[in-house]
Amino acid sequence: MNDFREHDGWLDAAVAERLLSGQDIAEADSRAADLTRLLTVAAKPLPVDSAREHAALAAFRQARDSPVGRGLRRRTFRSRPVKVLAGGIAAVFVLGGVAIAAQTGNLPLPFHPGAATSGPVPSTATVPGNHGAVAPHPSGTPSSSAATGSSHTPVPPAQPSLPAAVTSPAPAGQDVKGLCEKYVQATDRGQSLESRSGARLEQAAGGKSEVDAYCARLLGRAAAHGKSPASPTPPSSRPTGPPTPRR
Amino acid sequence: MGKAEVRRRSRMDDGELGDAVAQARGGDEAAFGIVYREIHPMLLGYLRGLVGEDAEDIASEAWHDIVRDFGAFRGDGERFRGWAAVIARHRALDHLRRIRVRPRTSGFDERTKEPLTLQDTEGVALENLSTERALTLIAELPQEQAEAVLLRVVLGLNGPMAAKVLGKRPGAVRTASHRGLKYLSERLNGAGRNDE
Repeated sequence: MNDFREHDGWLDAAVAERLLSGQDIAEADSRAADLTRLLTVAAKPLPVDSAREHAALAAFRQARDSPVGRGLRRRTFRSRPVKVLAGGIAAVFVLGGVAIAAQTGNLPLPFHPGAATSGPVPSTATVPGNHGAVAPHPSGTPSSSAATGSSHTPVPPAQPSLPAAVTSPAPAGQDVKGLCEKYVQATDRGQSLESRSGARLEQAAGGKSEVDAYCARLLGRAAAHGKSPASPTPPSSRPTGPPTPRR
Repeated sequence: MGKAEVRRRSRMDDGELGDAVAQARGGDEAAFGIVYREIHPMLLGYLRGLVGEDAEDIASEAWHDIVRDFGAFRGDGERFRGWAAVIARHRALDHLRRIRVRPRTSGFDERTKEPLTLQDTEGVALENLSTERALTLIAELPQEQAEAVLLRVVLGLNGPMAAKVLGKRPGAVRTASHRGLKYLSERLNGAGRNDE
């Protein structure tokens, strides 16, 4: 390592900096000349392969002439919040359904022992574990959640949509139950629901073919109140399936 | 020996490069050609030091990313050099990770063997030193030093920009590049062999 100190004699920080930035150095030492030569040779431009240059130009033209491609990329980026929102809404229906079941006393509720009254109950208190990511702040007002959300998330649009979806699960749940009742009544009369309600119900159930089973479960549970209080799995596991996107 | 001549190849003025970049971003193909011919040889040299023989392929991948993200770039010539270097560097590091997982004969392997042959010589013969050989010599430094020297010398970045590319403090990059020069100088004079 004494070599090192010897080198330090001429190669101090100032000289090194000049060498690195390609400036002339007033240095008579042959080692300075050698190092200079090495760096100069290293910095010589390597020959450009014309085939690769053409490929790069072609790529440039392609990127320039296909704003569609860029647009697509941007669109998929923007569509994500929409998907999240849709998922959130679907989840609200589903959770609402759970809330109904809970309200009617079919779910074991530590906080509401035997509570089976009317009026909106914060359904998020009964949310099954796998919705924890959405559920922990049911009381957060949209404004406060949105504010914190936008302040430290890289994709602001996605976050603020969540509180909005979370704050109104109970009414939506009531809706679904009501829709089911209407659906059952309509079916009994040999009719069908008007299309908007039908579509909402199908969305909550996870498909047209699922509506029968879904409503039967939802309303059946309510009817079977007191018979099987310790089986919360079906209402929670069944409805959470459909709205979960496959990818 | 007289005064050491350092004058390296003439680089395009940063303002001029910045103008060409701006025109290319606006869709001017001729301007893009100018940018390419200015930047590509440097990127290639830098990549040569990082990934050896695969430099051309990695450079092509980097250009693909560059033209794709051109619209997102803002800045002058110096910034563009740095930006292009970051893209090329990411590609190179990805590549190195890939070949470490699934090793094959590549520049990376050749590079690690090279010092043996060099150490058998009396220092390094500078008379007919090729650019490839010079880059290999730099590449044999510890990676931190090698990258710092390559960015400064081959890509012609200033200290702060080189630090930005490497995501490190300027002081750390300066120290690394100075150390690298010292090792290179020792190497040229055959001092490395006597280093106990």
